[in-house]
Amino acid sequence: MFLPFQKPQNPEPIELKPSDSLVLKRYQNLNSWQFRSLFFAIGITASNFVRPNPSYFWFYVCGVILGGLALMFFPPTDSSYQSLWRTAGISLYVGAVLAWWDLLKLLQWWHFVGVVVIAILGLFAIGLGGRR
Amino acid sequence: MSKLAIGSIFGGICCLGLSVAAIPFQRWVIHRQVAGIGAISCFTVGYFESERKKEEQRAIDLWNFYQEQKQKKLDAAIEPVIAAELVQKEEIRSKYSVADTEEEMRGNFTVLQVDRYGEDWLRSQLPQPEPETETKTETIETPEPETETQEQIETLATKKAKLLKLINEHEGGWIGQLMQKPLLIYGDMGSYKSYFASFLALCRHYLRGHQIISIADPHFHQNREASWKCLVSLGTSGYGANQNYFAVGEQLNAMYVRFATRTLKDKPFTSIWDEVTGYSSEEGTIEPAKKLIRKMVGDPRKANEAPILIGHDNTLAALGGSEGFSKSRDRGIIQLELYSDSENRPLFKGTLSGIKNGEGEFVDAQKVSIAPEWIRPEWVYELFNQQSDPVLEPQKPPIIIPEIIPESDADKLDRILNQPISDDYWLQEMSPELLDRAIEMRNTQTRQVSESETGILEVASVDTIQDKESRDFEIQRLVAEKFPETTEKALFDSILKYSETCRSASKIIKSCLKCSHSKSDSPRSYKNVGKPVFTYLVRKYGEASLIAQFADYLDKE
Repeated sequence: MFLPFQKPQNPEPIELKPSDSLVLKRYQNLNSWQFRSLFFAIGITASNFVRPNPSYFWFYVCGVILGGLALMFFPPTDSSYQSLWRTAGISLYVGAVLAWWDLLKLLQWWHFVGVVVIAILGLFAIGLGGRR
Repeated sequence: MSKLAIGSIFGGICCLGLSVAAIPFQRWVIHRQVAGIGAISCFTVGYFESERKKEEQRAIDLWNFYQEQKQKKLDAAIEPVIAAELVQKEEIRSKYSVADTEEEMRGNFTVLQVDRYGEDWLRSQLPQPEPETETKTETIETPEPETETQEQIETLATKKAKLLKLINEHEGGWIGQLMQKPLLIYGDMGSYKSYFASFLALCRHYLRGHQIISIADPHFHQNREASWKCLVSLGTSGYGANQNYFAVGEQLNAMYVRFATRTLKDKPFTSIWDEVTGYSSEEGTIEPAKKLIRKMVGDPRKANEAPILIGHDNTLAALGGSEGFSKSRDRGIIQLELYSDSENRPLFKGTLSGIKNGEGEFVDAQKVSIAPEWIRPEWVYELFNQQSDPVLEPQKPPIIIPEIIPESDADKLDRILNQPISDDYWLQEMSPELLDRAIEMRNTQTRQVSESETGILEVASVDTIQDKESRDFEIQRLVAEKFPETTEKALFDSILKYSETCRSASKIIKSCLKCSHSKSDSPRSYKNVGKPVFTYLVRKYGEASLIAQFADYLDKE
């Protein structure tokens, strides 16, 4: 029977782990920023490849969106990588949008309102899905 | 930081710039696409490079960590070994230090003795090897005469008769009446109480077969080698040494148990209880002492025990505080009061109460005296333990140990400085080889000194001795002139007496030598008469402790 206050009979020895050194932390930061930059560059490059070929535009849009969502919502189980992959997904979106910067002046106010509304509705839908 | 990783970042940033900056788009599309691919390549290379470096660094950190852990465990394991080694080294060092000090002391002793008595004398004092087995074998092989037991019995009977005769012939035989009843001996310090108790206990032992069961004395540590020496030689145990009243209390309770269990058929016992006066005020004896007089009056006879109480007074309060037993005390306990003079020396006189005359009446305050030539524990002990009879020593004053005088630091210093046994100790410690070495060292040192500084030393020592002699002579003249009515010794005695209560040299000079500061031209000026006379007397007659007491003042001179 499980007794909440019972002492474990054979406690496992506590394994001592070394704390991260400064050099290691510096490599970790470098590695993280290069990962984000890689996806930022992928976003830009994907936009550069699709602009001369409009027939693949929707394929590109779906690919970028799904790629970003995969990065943001299906990160590895290791908690230290989860925030890195989410920010990498955001970098992918930012890169994909930034490559169109010379055309962004064509956007009007309702485009922005539409994006915001869609984002809110999306979050709402995700919240509903989460409750079930 | 890896150059490749940093370079890839810069390359990637440049490529990114190219892939977004070139306009119009249609004309530069290929460039933008190639730059984009370049940026992806750069960042991919940089990412894997930094990942590799990161893992390498993690492995290094882990290795360092485990090395640290290993080192800690190693340190923890060897710490006791190092500590033990340190202790061992310290022991060796102290052993050598002791040996050095001993050698130095031995050398100093040799120098001193050689200077005093010469080398030959010192060599003659060394312990000689004893001829070993011959004496022993002789002793062993000598057959004991078979008739010796019979002779011993006869001798013992003769000795008993001799002692008995002396007791019976001494002032009507009052000592013989003290053999069976409890006895209280009281009087001032130094009045021979403990010695008489010891003498009486020995008489009871040899004449009546008493077993001396115990000596309860809070000063047993001081009296062991004095008044109780003979009893201790008989194997009697002492209790309460170093003022341990709890041990005395335990013995009182043990005596009460004996009173409750023993009968007249048992062997007669004598127990000795010293310093009874203090029992009622000491924590360890307060409770058992309350019953003391009541028990003494009623119980000892049937338990075949005759205690001897020793105190400074015979009042009930001084004997444990048993109220309402004064009459019983007077009838049940024989009381012997002994006298001493003002300097705590025994007068060998006293008064005796509680014994009975021929008609059974109690005798009160009978004047008695003690013959110190044979009423001594040593005399009785020697009578029964030596082949030849002890000689009666007329007028030999017994050695009286002051009763409660704890040794002060000053006394201890005096004792150490004046201890004559130290020479014997060093002689015992000395061997001919060591003596040779010490003498050789002394000769070497003397030679060195004589070669280099003989002239200076001679002049200095001659000057110093002459100065001292002339100064002493002047002060002697000063004493004779300024203190014509007294002597140096008398002056010093008054200084000594005053120094027991006053530690200030100037006050002593004012009080004892009647010198004052105010009158510089007076016949007894403090500066011209008081100070030099005081310094001279203390240095000439004072013991080490007194000189140490006024060392600061004497050094100011």
